[in-house]
Amino acid sequence: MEELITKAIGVAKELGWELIPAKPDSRTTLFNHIINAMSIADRLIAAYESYEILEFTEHEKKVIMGALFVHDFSKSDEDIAKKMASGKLDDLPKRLKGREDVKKALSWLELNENEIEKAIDLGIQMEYPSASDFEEFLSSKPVSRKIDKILRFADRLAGIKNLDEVKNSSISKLAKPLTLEYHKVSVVRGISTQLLHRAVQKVVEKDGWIPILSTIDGTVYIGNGKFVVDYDELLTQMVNEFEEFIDSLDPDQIGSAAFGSFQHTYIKAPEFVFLNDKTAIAFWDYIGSMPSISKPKDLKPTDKKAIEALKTLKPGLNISEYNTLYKLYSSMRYLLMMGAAVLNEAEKIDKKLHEKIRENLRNSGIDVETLVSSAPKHTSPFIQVIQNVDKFLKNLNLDAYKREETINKTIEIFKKSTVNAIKSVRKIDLPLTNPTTIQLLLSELSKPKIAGSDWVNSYETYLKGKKKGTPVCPLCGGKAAKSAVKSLVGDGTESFSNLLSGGSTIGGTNKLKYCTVCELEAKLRSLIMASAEAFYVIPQCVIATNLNDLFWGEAKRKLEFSRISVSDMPSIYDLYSWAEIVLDGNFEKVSSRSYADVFRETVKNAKKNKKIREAINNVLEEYGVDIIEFAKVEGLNVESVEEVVELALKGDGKIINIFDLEKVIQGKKIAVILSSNYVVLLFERLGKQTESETVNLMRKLFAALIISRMFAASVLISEIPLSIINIETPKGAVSFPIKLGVRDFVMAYLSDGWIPFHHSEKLMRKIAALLLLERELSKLGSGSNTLYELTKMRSGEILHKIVHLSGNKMSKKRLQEIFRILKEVGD
Amino acid sequence: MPVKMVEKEDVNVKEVRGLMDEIIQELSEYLMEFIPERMSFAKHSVMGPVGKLISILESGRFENKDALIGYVINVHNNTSRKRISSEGVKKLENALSKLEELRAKVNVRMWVRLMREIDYAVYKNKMERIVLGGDKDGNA
Repeated sequence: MEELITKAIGVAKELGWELIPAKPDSRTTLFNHIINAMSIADRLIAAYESYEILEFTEHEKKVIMGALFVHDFSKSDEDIAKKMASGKLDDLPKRLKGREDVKKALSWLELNENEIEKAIDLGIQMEYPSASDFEEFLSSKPVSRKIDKILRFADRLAGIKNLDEVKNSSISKLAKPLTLEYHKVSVVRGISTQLLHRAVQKVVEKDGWIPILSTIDGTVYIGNGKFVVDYDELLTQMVNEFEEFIDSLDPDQIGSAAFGSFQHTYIKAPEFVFLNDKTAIAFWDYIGSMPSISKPKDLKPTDKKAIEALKTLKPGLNISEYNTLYKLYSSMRYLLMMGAAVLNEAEKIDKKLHEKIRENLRNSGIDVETLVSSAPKHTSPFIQVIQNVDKFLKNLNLDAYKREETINKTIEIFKKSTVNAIKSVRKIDLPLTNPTTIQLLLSELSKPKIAGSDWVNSYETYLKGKKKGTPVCPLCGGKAAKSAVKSLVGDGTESFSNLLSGGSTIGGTNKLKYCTVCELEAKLRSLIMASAEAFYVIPQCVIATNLNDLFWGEAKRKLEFSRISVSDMPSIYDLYSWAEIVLDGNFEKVSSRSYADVFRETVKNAKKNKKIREAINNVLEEYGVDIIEFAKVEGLNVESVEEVVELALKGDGKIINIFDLEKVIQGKKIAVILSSNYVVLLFERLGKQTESETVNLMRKLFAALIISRMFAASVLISEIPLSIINIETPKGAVSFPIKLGVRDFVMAYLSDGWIPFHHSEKLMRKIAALLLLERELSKLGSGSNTLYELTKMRSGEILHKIVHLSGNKMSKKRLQEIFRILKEVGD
Repeated sequence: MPVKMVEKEDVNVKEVRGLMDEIIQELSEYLMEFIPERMSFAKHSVMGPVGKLISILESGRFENKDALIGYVINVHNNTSRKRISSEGVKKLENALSKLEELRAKVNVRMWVRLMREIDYAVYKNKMERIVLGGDKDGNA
């Protein structure tokens, strides 16, 4: 039925159901409700068939899908939709509006005449008829009980607001002879909770339970027998999930994520260095590529202390020689710092590993004791740096004047010592998959209760207090255990918090303390993207079925790809282009383009894109003639290298995969982490760093509205990227922290803390207009806070500002364009 | 005497919105017949006598309505390529009467705010006429 549901998605979009509320509370759209009901029905049919309880023919399945597609057709009537959005409709009309219209819609789903008639009859019978519908209702043909069961069950499940509802007798009665169960978490954190959802689902599926519906905090299953989760089994599965997640990442990414900063915590996630030999190599390569080491700054006349130190310890050299030495000592300072830090962290993680690294370093001629005891620090005076580095170089017979050679040799020694040590130690117990942390994460599973989980009494800890840091985690309220690391959790590690012990002063070594689970979440995110902004995208549709992969797989690719702008599909970072698209009325056209379409066009333009062409050449050089063989194995009919290139340029999907072209296309970063419950979207800051948080929030709001419309999903913008999010049933398109600056601007669009779907279009157009006006004003030299200022201005004032800043010289054409945009701002 | 820290907004803007719209309409229509000797997009030039009128009203320098109309007519005739018509004067009188009515309803703080709003709304209307057409002589 996947194909039919995919068609239904297209038709429902075409009919504009994405903006029509499904219920008077505006919580979800007609589009989401219909597609969800169809997807759930698909899953239910599969479940009853796999338990050999019911059997359905292809014809019956199509009729069911058709009936579900049209059962709420009356709500697509514009007047009704408006009344529903305003909450003025007490008595919902159940009448199907115009049988001919309905027939036409169903024919788009490629149902035959007979199936269409049956589907319409069923659609009528699904709702309680109002007086005017009785005639049609009574003339409809009877329906088999199994079909009726699936229809009512699917419709009911598609309308639940929270997971507990599935235990209501009215729903559980429909499930018989099977039963409905669900798992639920108490806290949603991001990636770690996604892994927990996955682990629970896998464990439960082993007992035959079939997942039919997912929400942000859990999953509903249908099946038979006892619904229990074995603690040990879940713990093992969780460790597997973590390992799988890490394995799926690029070792280069993991290695570089280990580094913290030269100023604060040198290695923020030591376990990433020691994960395996590849990550260790990546770590040292990354350190070697840091500008402080690979491209140290020249000696400036203002560096008086350095000049004095050099003159004292190395008298009689000329300026150029001093400069060479200065650069060497600057690089070596950081390199030795990292060498000592790796040793230090290895000791904390695994004694044997630590011993092996020491041994390897010693064998390479390094005096380990001196390295540990006198490695320079970021704050060490330069004279001390020279002394320490000199000692190190002397032991290894390295020449201070051959900077590059000396640096490379040192990195090589550190790299080899770490890699060989990792290889010789069989299994390192890494803190990332530490059972204690994972146990804490498991304790967040509120249903089913699992035997053996150990709850930590945060309240007691809070009452007792601690001498240092915060007694409880400022992010989730769990038991605080680890000092905050700025490069992991972001700014504010030394900021005041209400959770501090009374009378204590924050600062210096007394930092906020976080719980191990929040730290784990921070580390997982840093593996993907350091200091990223986060959106939680909660699918409103197709959350129920195997279609999830199909729909969200496409969404993931489109979103990941949106780090760059291609052809007429702009990057999500290019909000101005999106604003133009929105105001030109091309949003539907652009946003509904398939990933394949967009990518094909990009590759078509590859001649203009040097990087893509270079990538093809690189792969060809690497594989030589073998690429032809490889392509043939992949099922491609190519005879020459030229043909391969030609196919690639035409946008052939297989060739694109072989050449791994996607990675070649550089741009800003964006990461999409999928699960059937929700999607975590990590991205870089939108707009400039210098902008106020209010302006940044407005940009995020616009991006969230785009994503929400594009994927028929609810988007939750988290104020603090790492903070846990409120578990609630999404009540609209976007929820965001309402900062004082944007309060007046968005109040008119808000309902229950959310921007409802039917308001999202209006707000999107308004912000789009403001963005374009901001761009106009920025060109004329307006400041970085312009977007915020615009929200406080009347359109006449905005117009005056633009005209005034242009020196009262603007072409009529330009002004006409500005009037077009101003219309969207309104008065 | 106690210091007045907060001035309460005793009239909701929504309540006077209708009156505001009428004033904006009258002033905008009057302004359409003002054609400056040298046209430019400068606000000063676009707003002509209405700009002067609003700044006087904002500061409260005039007490007498007829004197104010006389002042505006004088400014108009001295700066426009076309002298003010009797219809224009009527529109001005209507606008002034309504402005009086508005002033009686609101406090000083809100009055200043509303004047600013009227100022930009009339400016926008006139600019729209210049840019989007309908004002043959007013092309910049």
